[in-house]
Amino acid sequence: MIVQKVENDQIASKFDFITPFINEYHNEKSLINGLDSLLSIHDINVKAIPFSCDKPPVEWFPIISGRSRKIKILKKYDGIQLFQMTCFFKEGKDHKEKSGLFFVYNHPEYKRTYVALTIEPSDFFRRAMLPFFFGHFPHIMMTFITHKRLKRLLENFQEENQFSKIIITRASPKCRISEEGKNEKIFPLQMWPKMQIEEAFNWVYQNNGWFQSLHFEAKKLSVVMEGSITREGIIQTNRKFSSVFKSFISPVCKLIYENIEFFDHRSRRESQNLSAKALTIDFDTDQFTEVSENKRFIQSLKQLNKASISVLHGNPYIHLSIVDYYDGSSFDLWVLNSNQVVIVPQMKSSIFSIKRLVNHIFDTYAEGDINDYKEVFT
Amino acid sequence: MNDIQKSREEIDDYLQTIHAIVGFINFFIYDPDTKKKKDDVVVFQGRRFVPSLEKSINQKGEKVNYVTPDICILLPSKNGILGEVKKSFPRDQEKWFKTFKQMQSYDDDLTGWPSIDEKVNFHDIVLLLHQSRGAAVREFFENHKGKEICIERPFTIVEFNRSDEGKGYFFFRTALGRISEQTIDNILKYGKQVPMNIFITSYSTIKIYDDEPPLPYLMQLIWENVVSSKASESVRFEKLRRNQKIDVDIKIDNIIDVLYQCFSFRILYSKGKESVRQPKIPKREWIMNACQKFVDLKEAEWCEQGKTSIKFFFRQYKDVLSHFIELCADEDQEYMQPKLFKDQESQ
Repeated sequence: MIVQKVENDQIASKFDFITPFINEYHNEKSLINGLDSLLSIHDINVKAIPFSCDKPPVEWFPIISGRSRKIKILKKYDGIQLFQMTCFFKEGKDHKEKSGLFFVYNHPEYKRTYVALTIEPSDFFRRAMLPFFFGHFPHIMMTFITHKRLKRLLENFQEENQFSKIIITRASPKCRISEEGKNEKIFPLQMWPKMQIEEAFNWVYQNNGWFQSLHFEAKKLSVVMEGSITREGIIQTNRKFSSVFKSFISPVCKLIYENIEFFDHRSRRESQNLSAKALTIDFDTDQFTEVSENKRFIQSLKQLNKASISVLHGNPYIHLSIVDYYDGSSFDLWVLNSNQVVIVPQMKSSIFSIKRLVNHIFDTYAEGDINDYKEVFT
Repeated sequence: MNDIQKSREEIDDYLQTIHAIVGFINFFIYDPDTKKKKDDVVVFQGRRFVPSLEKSINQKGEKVNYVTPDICILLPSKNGILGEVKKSFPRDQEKWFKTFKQMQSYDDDLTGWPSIDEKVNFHDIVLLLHQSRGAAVREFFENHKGKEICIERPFTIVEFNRSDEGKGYFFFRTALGRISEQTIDNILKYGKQVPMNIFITSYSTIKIYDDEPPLPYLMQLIWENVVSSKASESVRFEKLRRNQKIDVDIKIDNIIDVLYQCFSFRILYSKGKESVRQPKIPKREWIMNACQKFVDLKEAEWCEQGKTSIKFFFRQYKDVLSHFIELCADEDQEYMQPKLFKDQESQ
């Protein structure tokens, strides 16, 4: 393996495979295969950001260039676009700029779902690309991967590729820690556990937390590839891009698409007779058995930034009125069962806002399954 | 109890009354066998009925144009139910006669039912009240019936109670009389617990009825559903900081219309069954009171002397309801303070 890598590095140093790859015509298949080939020759990483966008990136990204950032379309193919992003920043007294390329892959199966792909160095990715994608919420939406789903993704990846082991080499878990008499706090941690999937996930579950990101290596006889995945679905890999695309990127795109479909058209404005289309978060266990739990839940909701949380009732049941100051979406939230939260979207309710609220509950309180609310009459 | 707690209790009482109306109506509109809504039962809240000639003049000699019971239910048999909901009764029992006078006004051959000839074959009269007052009000009625209180039509007192143990449910039970609709009578005779979770969408869409809501609650409804919504159309909304504001001009008619369309009992009315007999809730005077309060609290200003539109100064509050409860309580304190000194001076 090491010998192979040295040989590849020698070939890569003699030949530039990246420039022709960038310049050649791409379709969805050639882009994935091309990246796969590049990784087997060059010592580089592919970084992928699966996202959804309320307007097609090809039309919108160049328009939202600002003073600190310029985005240009270099190439436009069917379903693939190549962009150049230049960021302007100050380092001390010096004005500097950083430029890099990225592809946007329009997922052929999942509408309004895209993947930004780059092989630029981490510095460009962290300083230019990520702030751009995170900074344009709620117009650009990534996903959230629950603890259970993240574990399943890793297990499937191991099984599909017949890896003997997947070792979690570095993790950034966040744990919900409550001290007696104080509000619950979320503590970020950094750890290098060298654990296998089951062990690592058990640890974080027992500590009432979740993985914000994790780095892993997949092994057969020796290490085959190294990769990472975040709770928002951002993926990096240094090998086996096609497999990573199939096992991680595509399922994350599917998740984004399913969320869009599920959260869309929930505004009462869009319903006949202005009726409400509520949704539920169902927990595996009875969460709300003690009154103190109501308080804990309300406190965690009140941490939602850029929102108003009004408590109409807090005990024995919970009734909140929520306004999202990102876009004016509003909701009623009810807890009337010990294992269920019901969210009732009001007149305006965007996909982004529902996602933000659900994500916040998952992060700061507990994760559950999202379902349609079923009205059962007695 | 301080003003803030009092205000919160008033809001809770108001919402409890709405939830009791929704729960009581449910007995008539949902079929327990099919677990579906009956299409042939028509319900209304706060509908105007015209009294018969005999009852069109009250005891003071004044003309009575209409009566407006809280609950109106028309069954497919062309029988009906008129109901009044009272979450609280005053301590002074003399004042209870007022409620029974109201009940007596429903004991009449009223016109205005949602039927072709606007009449019913016969109707029941129901007083829906909180369980804490059930026994006392029943005793009061029995002591005065046939004397000061005369109701000829079937009259029933149904008591309700919201459980404060476990997760919420409403309990309904007949405290006096029988409901003519046999199936409902059988259910209510021994009492029925109705879990609140089955009405979540109704509770979230019906937030006002034909009684004036507590002021901070009405202000919250306006702020969250009319002002925030309008402010969100501004390009500045998303990036607005907590110390910044957006001016939002809104017509009073628009506020009334949004709250009526989105948060009144209108949502329960069958399509096309809205009529002129149905007063538009919220009433204009309630909205004018609330808007004047926004102006007094410097959260808004009138756009012109005619007070047909108002400019709100939209800001992002972390807890809109608490914000208005606290502001209203503070203002009441300021109002009380000089009065207190005046009283002391005059002593």
